[in-house]
Amino acid sequence: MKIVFLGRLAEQFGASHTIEPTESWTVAEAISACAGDQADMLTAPGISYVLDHEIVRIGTPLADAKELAFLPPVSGG
Amino acid sequence: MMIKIAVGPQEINPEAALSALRVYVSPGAGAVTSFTGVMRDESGEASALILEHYPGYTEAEIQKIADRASDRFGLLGLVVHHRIGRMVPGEVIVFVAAASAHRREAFEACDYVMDYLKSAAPLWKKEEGPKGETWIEPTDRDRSDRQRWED
Repeated sequence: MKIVFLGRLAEQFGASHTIEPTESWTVAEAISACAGDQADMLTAPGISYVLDHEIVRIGTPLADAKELAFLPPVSGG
Repeated sequence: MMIKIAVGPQEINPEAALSALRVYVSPGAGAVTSFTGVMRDESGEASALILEHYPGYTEAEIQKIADRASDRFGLLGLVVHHRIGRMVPGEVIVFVAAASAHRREAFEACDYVMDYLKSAAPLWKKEEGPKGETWIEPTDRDRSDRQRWED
């Protein structure tokens, strides 16, 4: 599964990663796998989770989604 | 009805986009309005701006804003061009044009689309200035501007 980081999160974690989630994983397990002891940066207020281009919650199962993105608060144009 | 969304690194040509919309909506539209957002130089503080997007998702979210504007104001045409990548003062960041039968709807549609682009579109903006690079987040003013449409 592809993990994408946007904006300032890309500078912190790199623009993209690949993880191999098991069937039971939710966004929360993906956060632990990607961020380790920096997980609080991805659970902070204002961070959005987008699973295959749909906004989801931290407890949403990854199921067989292809891409999970972490979005910092938007800046606007 | 035509909605045209473009998000990309190429320079925006407001005159050409406006002209194309005007031709498309002629002669049904009695009003064509546009807004051109230009990067300004705040007393030399920002020397460049870098805008990032999430390919595919950003376009889809801007499309949703455009669809809502079109429904709400009964538009005949709507064009949204957003630049991404690095730009310098004087360059066009965003262009919005709306066409409707009468003027009020076209004016308000541009205002509405800009308020949502500024506060809700998935775009991330970084300023390059004398003290290095700084990520920008929406201001309270951006949020209150959007709130006008939700009360």
